[in-house]
Amino acid sequence: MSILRLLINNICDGSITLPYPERPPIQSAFRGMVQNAPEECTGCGLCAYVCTSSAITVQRAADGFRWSYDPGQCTFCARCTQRCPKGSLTMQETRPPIYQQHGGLKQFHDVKKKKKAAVISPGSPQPVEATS
Amino acid sequence: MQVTTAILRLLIFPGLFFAVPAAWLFLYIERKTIAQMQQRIGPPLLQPFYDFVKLLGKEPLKLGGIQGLLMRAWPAFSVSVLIAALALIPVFPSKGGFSGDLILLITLLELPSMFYMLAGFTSRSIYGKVGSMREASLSLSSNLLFLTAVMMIAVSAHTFRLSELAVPAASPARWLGLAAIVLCIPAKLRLNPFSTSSAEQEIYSGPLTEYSGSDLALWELAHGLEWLALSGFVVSLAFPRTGFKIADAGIFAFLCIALVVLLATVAAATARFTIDRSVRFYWRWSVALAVVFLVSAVVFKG
Repeated sequence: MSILRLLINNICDGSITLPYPERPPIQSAFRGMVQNAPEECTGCGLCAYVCTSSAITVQRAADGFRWSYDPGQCTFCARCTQRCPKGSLTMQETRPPIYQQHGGLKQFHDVKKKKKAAVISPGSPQPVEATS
Repeated sequence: MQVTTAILRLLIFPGLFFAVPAAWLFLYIERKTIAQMQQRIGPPLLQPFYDFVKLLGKEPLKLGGIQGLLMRAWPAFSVSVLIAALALIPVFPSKGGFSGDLILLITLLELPSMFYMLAGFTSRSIYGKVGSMREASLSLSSNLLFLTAVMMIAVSAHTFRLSELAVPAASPARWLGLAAIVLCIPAKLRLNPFSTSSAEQEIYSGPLTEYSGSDLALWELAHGLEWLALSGFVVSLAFPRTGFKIADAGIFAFLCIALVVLLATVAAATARFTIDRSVRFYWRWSVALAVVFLVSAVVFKG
């Protein structure tokens, strides 16, 4: 009879799913897209090292590095934010936007190597064609 | 019965033009009820229609020769015989429906299950064959109970004529028989706990694994029509007539929907039986009912 009780409870409680395009409210400590503060980032590459899905890559160049992130590959495990020694990585508490094309949410930051690393192109996420 | 009246009843009411939207409505009620039991919002009212139209737009199966011909034929045959069966159901016993007897109706209700089995064997898919064999085993065992119950109702009313059977007599044999038929409906509709022939976690869709496009759309429609025909059959033998057509139609529709909700609830509340357990279940009930039938025949002989 416990199954009957369960069914009655399910009916009384109402549905927990929502019709499209409604979405459930965000819970606290929601893990959204990873955000990088380029002025803090040292390009150590620990985030890319711990990223199991290779959503984060750090490409080094002679004059600096490029930090890039593809939310389409991200599993939102938060290991990168936990391992970031400077605390420059955080996770948004909002849902990733809906995108139509593969890599549509991809973003990167180019950071030039200086005495104290200076940011060349930080700011809002910009889509890129591809990073080879 | 005049030919034009017969054709109108086959095509308009309770035939094609009434039966197809009603079948979609029953599919919607089944899916919505199961969704509510599982705390899901479920599909919108027109979802079975959208599914049908979408499947019609999909590329159909391209098989040549006799195999392709048969695979296209089975779902079309199923829909046809079910519409014919619906035309026989005595909703309004004095005037409605074709004048036919119980044996014809039972034959027409049984044919879709055979076409379903044949579809699995024709597809030559291993999943289809396994599903067909399961359907055959289940059909053999559930039909034993089903036919015993039908015989019990017919013998207790001393007639096989549907128009006479539709006037419910308050006999215990009829109610027992109807309860036994309700017990068989989940097996006939391949619902939990008797969904072994279409166990999607084990054998994909069983006999329908190789189906796509318009043929699969027809199978979906046939499933809705089966809902309509079987629930209509039970309700038409059970509900008391008021003498007013609109009231009768309303009571008939209400009881049919109540039966769909009841069976969908059972499907949501139960897990799938193994095939041997399903067969054992129906054999036990069949033997019990057969004994009751025999005893009542001896006791009420005079």
